[in-house]
Amino acid sequence: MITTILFFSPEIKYEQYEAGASFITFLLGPATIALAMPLIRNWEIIKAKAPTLTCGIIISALTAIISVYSLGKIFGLSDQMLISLLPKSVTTPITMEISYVIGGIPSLTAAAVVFTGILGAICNHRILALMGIRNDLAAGIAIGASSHGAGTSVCEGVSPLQLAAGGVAISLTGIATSILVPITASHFKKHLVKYAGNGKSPASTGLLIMLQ
Amino acid sequence: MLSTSLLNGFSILLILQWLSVIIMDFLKIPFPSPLLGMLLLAVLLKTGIILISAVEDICDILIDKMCMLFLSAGVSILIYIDIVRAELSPILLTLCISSLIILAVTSLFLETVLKKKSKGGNSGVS
Repeated sequence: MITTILFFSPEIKYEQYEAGASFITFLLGPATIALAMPLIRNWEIIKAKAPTLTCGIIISALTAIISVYSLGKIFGLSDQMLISLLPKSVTTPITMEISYVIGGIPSLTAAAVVFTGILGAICNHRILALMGIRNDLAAGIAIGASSHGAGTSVCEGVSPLQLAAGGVAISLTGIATSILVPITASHFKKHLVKYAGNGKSPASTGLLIMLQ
Repeated sequence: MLSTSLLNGFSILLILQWLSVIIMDFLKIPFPSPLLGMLLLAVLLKTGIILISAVEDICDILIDKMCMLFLSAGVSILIYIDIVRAELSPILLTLCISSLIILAVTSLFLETVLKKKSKGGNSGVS
């Protein structure tokens, strides 16, 4: 909504908005760190299913990277757009950092992530029902891994195990993707190197502002 | 929920972020620094160096209000509105189809594996 207002009101300069918003953006860092909480709370589930969980998360992260890359190539996306979309199935604070690290446009990634999340919140359970997935743990992990926070919040009304699994998956997918994406990105990055580092890291920008 | 406990928790988070930014600057590995902070916090909580009660409240608040936090960041997409408009339909198609693929692959895989574990064989799905 704010985007729309800004878009249609030329008298508000983007820079003015940015000045006020940068502090909120800075809070994304602590918010990411706060994601450790669901990990600790659901430690028992993680410990009991550790091998399965790890495999599932790694597979979903790899699927995400491969599917976005190949679909992007098929539909003819430009390279920078492709790089920005790569980490799209991770929760926003983490994804913006990944996007910055690999040289994408963090805000573009954020928008893609929000879109993915809303899409997931609407469709996930219908698709899972269609496929006949009944295991709450599997459903929760899949939802958390594909559509992060927004998608997982819908699980609250379905089952507590699904919600917990989703929360765990959000944090774990973040970790897996942030390890895998830079590695794979550097693989097909030979011709993309020129883009690296033209975005701003949300966390470090915020820190700079705080220091000033 | 006391305001002092919130402040304490928040300063713990800030110190962790500061530490992780410094470590990442030092190591120069392409890895997001807040994520290192998250791992640090998880380890510290698990080993009992930081009490869960010390950061619990602030973590809940931050996670609750997270959608508000990234909204302002997403708005910066306005700077790139021209690039986005030029490639809107490929972007949307890529996002939709790949979300579907991720959801399907992950849930089918986990369902199969979990079923095998509980029943000892015979998956049925995929």
